[in-house]
Amino acid sequence: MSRLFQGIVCSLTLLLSSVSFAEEVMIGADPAEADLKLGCMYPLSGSSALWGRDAVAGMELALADIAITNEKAPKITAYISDTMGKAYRSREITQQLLTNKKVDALCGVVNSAIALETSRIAKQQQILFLGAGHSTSRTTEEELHPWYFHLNNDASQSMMAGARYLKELQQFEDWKTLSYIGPDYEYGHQLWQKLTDSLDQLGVKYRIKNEFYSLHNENSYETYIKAIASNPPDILINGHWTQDLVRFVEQANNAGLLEQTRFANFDTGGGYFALSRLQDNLPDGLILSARHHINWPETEENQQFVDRFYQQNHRLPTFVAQDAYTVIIALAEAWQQTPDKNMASIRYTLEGLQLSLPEDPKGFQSWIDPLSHKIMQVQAIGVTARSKDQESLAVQLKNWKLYYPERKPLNDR
Amino acid sequence: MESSIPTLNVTQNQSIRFWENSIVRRYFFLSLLVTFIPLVLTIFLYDRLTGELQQNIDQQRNQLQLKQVKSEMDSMLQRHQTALKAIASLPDIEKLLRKDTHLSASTLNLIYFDIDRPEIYGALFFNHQWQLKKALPGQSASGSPYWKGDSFSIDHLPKTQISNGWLIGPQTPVRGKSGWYLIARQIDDVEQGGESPGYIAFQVRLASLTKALATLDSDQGYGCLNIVSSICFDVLGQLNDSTEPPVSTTDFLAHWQIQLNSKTTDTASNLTTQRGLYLAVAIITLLLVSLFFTALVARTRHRIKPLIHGAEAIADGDWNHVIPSSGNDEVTQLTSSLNRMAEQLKNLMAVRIQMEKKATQGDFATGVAHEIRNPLATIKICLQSLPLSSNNPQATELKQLMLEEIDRINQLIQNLLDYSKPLRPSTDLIDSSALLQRIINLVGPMAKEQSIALTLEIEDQIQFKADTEQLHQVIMNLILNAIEAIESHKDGQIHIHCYQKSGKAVITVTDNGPGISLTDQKKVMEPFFTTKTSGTGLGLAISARLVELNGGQLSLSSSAASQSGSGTTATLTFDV
Repeated sequence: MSRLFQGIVCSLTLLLSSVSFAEEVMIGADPAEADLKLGCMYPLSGSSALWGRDAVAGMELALADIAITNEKAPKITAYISDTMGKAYRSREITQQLLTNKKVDALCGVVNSAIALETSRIAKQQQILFLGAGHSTSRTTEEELHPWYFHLNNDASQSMMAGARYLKELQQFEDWKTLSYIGPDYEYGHQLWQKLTDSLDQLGVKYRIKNEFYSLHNENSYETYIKAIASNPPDILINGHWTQDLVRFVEQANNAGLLEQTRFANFDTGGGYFALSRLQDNLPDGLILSARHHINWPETEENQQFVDRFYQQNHRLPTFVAQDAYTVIIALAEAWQQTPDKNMASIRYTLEGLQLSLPEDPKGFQSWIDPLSHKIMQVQAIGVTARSKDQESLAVQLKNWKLYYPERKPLNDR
Repeated sequence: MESSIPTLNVTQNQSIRFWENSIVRRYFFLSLLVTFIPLVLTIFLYDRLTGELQQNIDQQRNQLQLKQVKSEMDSMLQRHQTALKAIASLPDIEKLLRKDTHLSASTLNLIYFDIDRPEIYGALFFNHQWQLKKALPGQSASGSPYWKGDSFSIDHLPKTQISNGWLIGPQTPVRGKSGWYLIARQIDDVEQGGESPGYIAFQVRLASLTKALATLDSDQGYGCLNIVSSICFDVLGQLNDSTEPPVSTTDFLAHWQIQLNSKTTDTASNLTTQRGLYLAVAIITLLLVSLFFTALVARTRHRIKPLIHGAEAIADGDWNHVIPSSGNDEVTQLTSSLNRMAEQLKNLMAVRIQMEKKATQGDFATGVAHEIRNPLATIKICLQSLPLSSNNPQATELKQLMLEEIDRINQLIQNLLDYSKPLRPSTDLIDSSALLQRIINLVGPMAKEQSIALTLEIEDQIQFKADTEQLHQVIMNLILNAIEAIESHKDGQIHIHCYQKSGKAVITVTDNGPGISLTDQKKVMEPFFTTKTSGTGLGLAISARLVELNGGQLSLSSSAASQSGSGTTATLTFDV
């Protein structure tokens, strides 16, 4: 027993040491002069580091924008801590941000399960948590609490747009069967659940052939691809993202699966990350969407956002950059609109707040739904096609279909 | 004379029918049997032995693979059990089971550290009645029991006792969720050292266990994790509804079995296809062999048929029949032999006919001589006794003429007797030079009288065995024939040449007379044939007979047919 206990202590020591030495980035105003201190959690190292670095770059752009456009904008200090995509680190980091940095609000998290855990801590600690980067809709449904706001389109929104797209497609292509493959965790489960719920809600007739859940960071999808190919559906719904998505599409394309079935990913597949990594491995005709696109909307604001991001970082932005950008803009706007500058008041201000963001098409403003605490944005779905519009991308999304959020009167809810 | 030819025992022609009495047919069927039986036996044995061998290899390989899968699954469970043991031993872990008590952050973090793996959904804490008291989510946690959602219960799941714990489940996949199982153990009551307050369990993705079944996946079969003999999970942790019995199995845990199932349809189809292919190849081979043998038989029959026809023709007495010959093999040799045999037979028959002819002639001549000579002697004696008046010269002349004619008839009869029944030669060693010189001396005046140049050329001094008198008679006869042939020609020449060639003594008598026509050349040796108005036509026939009796050969050659005046050459050949 004593030997085991010594081992546990050693492990714990190592664990705590690793948290202590975790990478942390601070941007924005000097903490001593800051009106608001924001503590965010993103992966800054490891295989998912790109998302965290894009989030930092997105926030930097937003901080610059609010400083230029509005003299009354708050001075914000943002701490971005490296979660390395690990749940145990996120819990510890959250506590450190609250205790040591005494942040006024939390933000971030790309992993849905970690986001749910962080949301619980925020609820317990009664601190504002501006979710940006994750997709689960459970945070704004079963687990919703007054201190949580979701500032990017979540699974329920992207899947409702996907369901509407499929309904329209059925009129032209008469598809009948669906199969699903996604990651075996909250995000992957939520996407499929929300899509089937939305299809049922829209009255779409369909039959499910199979559903598969792969391990996160799976290297080979051969078994899954064989299983799908043995009984191919009319449309294969995919819920992967990041490297999992890239590996699956590469292997499915090489195995000829994408010629047997129509491929659709409504949540992240159309983002810059997937397009840039897959390039020629993306055949024409895949149905993809993401929370932000570099070639849609074709507005000056979006073009400027993409160009400025590229100038500062020498790469194009992923959708997490836009998610993190939204956090700063929303927080600054709410702070300005809240007379007493109290976080509890700011929380109320966020409910129903209207925002102008680069990803808004002309004539549309994003808004935060006061009941669900979700930001309401347009979801654009496109189809892959060869393109020379952007040097670094062989394939881009075209033939856009736009799905606007429905603004329901408060008394209807 | 033909009636004297012995009749050959020629049977009537037999028709060789391939399907009834052909030896080729027998060999054909024998060859086919010799080919078919080993081939059929080989196919049968190959099919059987390779089938058994393949079956044995498959069984061994299957067992090996099943053990490998079991080992991987054991290893996976062992890893989780080790982590569970570490957590269950934490000093204040039982606090998680109590309401409104909080575990220290460091202990919680240690638990989170252990469950922060993609295949673990989270850690669950149950009281001693297996009621869930706490759920800590891992990075793959989803929905209930970690967050609000559907209710969570394990009451319906089977519990399997394993070393130091339980394996609970598996829960089959449902819409929107993968299949999972719990691996659980008792929580140690460190402080009280008494009864365990409850259990800790990891909720683990089922596919992380069934993933090991990928080793069994092939074109022929697939792996399956069978639980309580009712449900089977494939490599992806999905329910498999196949009802086919497994090919091979191994026990994993109590009521948990790893199975290797056969993709029966494909395998059976492949086997049937392969066997059909083998059979088709065998049948095609047999057909090809049959065709080959049939072609071989037809070709052999085609070669043998002319031999049969030729042999039948010869048997029927057609000795002039020549069997066409081609190629250079045994049949060609047989054809040549048959043709040679026919030729020999033809010559033999000709000689036999000639001998019988001569014997007949001899008997006839003896009879005639006997019957004519006696009355002729009487006539001659009577004629000589007949008194003649000296004053009747005409009568005297007639008497003399009659006596001369009687002598001539006698000489003719003698010649006939000489030809028919010549004296047996008395051979002695002859000096050809002396003999020829003596003959030249005898006939030289006669030739000179007729202005014929008679020359003798002795190239070699040759000695050979023959009857001197008979040979003398032959050469004299040849020279006299030559003188008679030249008779009316001016500048007549007779050249006698003696030389040795290829171990034989050769004597030629060549004249420059008118020669002998081609037609006459064939008959000139026959008795009573003559081109002259006088003479008996027996000279050359007797000469030829005498030469033959002395073991030599006489031949005549003349180019009269093409060149007038080129003369005739008579050639005598004797063994030295």
